[in-house]
Amino acid sequence: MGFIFSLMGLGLTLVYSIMRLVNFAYGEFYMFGGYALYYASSLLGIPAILALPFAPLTGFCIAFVVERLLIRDTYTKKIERPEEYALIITFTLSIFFQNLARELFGPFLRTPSSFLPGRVNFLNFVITWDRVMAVIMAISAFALVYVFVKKTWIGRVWQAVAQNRPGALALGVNIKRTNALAFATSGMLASLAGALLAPIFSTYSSVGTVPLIKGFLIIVIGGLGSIKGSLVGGLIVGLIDSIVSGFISPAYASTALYIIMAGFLVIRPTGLLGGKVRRA
Amino acid sequence: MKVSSHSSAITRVQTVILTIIVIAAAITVVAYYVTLPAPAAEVIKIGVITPLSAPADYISGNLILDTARLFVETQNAKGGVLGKNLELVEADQTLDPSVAISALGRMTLQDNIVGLIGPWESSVSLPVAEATESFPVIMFVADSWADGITSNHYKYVFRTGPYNSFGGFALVDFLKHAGYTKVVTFVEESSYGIGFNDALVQGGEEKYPELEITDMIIEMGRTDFTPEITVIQAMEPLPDVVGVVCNIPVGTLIVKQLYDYGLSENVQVLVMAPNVFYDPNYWESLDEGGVGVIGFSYSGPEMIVTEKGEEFIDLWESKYGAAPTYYALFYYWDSLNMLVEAIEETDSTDPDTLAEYLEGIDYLGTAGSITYTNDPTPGSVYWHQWLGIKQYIFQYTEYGEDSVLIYPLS
Repeated sequence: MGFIFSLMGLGLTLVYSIMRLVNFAYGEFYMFGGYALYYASSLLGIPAILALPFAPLTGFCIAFVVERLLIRDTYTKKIERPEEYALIITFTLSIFFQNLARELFGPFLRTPSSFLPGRVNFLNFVITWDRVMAVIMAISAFALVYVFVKKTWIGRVWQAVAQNRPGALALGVNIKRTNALAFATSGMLASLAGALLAPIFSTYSSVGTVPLIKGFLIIVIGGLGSIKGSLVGGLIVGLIDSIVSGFISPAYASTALYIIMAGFLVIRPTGLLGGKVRRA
Repeated sequence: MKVSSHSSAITRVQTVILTIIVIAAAITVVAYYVTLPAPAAEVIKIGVITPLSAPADYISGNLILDTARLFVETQNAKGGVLGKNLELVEADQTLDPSVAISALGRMTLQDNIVGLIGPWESSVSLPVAEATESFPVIMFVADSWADGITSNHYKYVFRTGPYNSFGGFALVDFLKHAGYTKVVTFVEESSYGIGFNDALVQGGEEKYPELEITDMIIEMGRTDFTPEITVIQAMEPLPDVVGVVCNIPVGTLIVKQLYDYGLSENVQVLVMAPNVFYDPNYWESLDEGGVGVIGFSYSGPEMIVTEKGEEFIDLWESKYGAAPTYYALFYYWDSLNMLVEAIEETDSTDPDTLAEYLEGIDYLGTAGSITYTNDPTPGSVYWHQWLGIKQYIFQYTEYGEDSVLIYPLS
C-alpha cells in the first residue's frame, strides 16, 4: 500500500516543488481515476487492465483544465498571497468535485472488475493478484517519473524551476507550460493511484480523502520536494501502519503516523530527504 | 501643548463606546427578526435531516429523502393537509451532530416545521433527539438503533423501527440455533455499532453463555482491513462467524476483503447492517464475494403488506423505476402518514398536541398495525417505541439472486 500511496506523495511533491502550492483537491483526482477505470471498462466492455490508461489520461486532462482556469492566476497575475489563494481555491474545488461526482455517478460504490482474478499465497500470507499488480504498476510508474525528471529536457526544466525559479525564467523557460505540465502530471499520478486501488477498495465520491492525508504524511516524512523522499516516505508510512496495526491495534495506526509526522515537523521539517527551500 | 494626543484619547473612548452601541443594536435587530412570529403559513412544512454526503451513509439518506419527496408529492395531489400543501425542508445531517442540530434549530425557528424524519446514524440521531427538547418538533426514527433514542424518554421522539437491544438479543437466537460459538465482530465506532455489539454480548450472556465474542473497533472512513483480517487468520481455531457491524461503505469493503483474503471460505460472514446486505449494488460491489453471506432484515416473507403497503410500492415503482428494497422506507412512509393523521385529527400542528395523539395512535400501516408503548419507567426502551418488528435471517446462496430466508423457517 505504501508504494501506491507514494504516487500520491510524488504528485504532491511535484506540484509543491515546481509551483510552490499545495493542492487540496488532489484526493479528488484519485477519485476520478477510480471512476474513469470503472466507466471505461464497463462502457467499452473491455477488461480493467486494458481500460487502465484511461485513468491517468482523465487525471491529466482534468488537472490541465484546472490549472489553466484556476491555478494559473497564482503565478501570472499580481494576486496578493497566491499560496493562500491556491489553498482556498483547491479546498473549494475538492468539495465541488466530491459533490459533482455524487451528482454524476450517484452515491453508490463502484467497483471495477479485477485486473487479474485470484489470489497468491506468499509466505503463508494470502494476497490478491490485484494488489500484486497494483504494486508492480505503482513501482513502474514511479520509476518512469523518476527517469523522466532526471533524463528528459522537461524534467531538467522542472528541476531548474524547483531549484531557482527566477533563474530559470531568466534563461527563457516558459513558466506557464512548465507549470501546466507539472500540475497535469500530478493529476495523472493521483488518478493512476486511484485506478490501481479501485478494484480493491472500490470508488465513491469521498474515496480520495484518506489518500490525500496519506500523501501529506508521506511528503512530510520523506521530504517535500524529493522524489526519492516520496518513495521512502511511502514505505515508512506503509510499514508503520502495518506494524502498529499488527502489534498494537489498527485503531492507533493513524495516531502513530500523525505523531511521527508532528515529530518530523518539529525536529526535521525538511523530512528525511528533502532540502531547504530557497526563496528568491 | 499636547492637544492632539488629548483629543485622540477622547476619540478612542468615543470609538469604543460607539462600537459597543452598534454591536448591541445589531444583536437586538437580529434577535428581533429571528424571534418574530412567522406569518400564517400557506404551507405545512416537514423537515428531513438525513445523511446526504460521505462519510455518512448517504445511500440510505438519499432513499429516505426520496421517500419524503414522494410522500409530499402524493399528499399534495390528494389536497394536502388541512387544505394546505406540504412542503419539504431538507438538510444534510453529515456525521457531525452539531450540523444536524443547527439544521434542526433553523427548521423549527425559521421554517416552522411540524415534523421531522431522517436522522440516521445513531451518533447523530441521538443528539438530534435530545435537541428536540429545546426545539420541540415531532421526530420519527425508523432505523436508528441506539437504545437511548427511546430509553431517554424524549417527549417528541417516536421510533417506528428496530433498536439495538432488540436486534442484538434476537440475533443470539439465530447463533444458538446454528450452533455458532466463536464470533469475531468488526464494530463501527459509533453508538449504533458499539450499542449493537454490546446488546449481542449481553444477549449471549443471558441466553447463550457458550457464545464467545471478540470485537474489533473500526473507525469510520477506513478502507483497508488487512491488519484485522491477518489477526483473524492467525486465530486457532478460526472463528465460526465474522460479524460486520458497520454501515456502507465500510461494511461492504470489509465483506469484500474477507473474500479477497480467502477468509470467507473458512468462516461464515454475517452482516449486521441491513443497508450493506440490501445495497442495490450488492453484487456489483462484492461479485462472488457476496455468495454465502448471511444478513438480517426486519421484514420477512410473512411481512404483511397491506393495501397501503401495495400502494407505497406502486408509487415508488412508478416514480423510481423499481420496488423499494429497504424496509425502513416503509416505516418512514408510515411515520409521515401518522403525522398527517395526527394533524388532521387534532386540527393542530402543536407538538405537544401531536405527541399526545401519537402516544395513543393505532395506525394500520404498510406492514400492519402500529402502536407505541409508553412505559414511563426511567431507562426503559419501551417509550414511544413500536414493538411490531421481527428479525429475519437471510442468506445469499447463489450469485446474482435474491437472498433466501434461513431463520426462522416457521
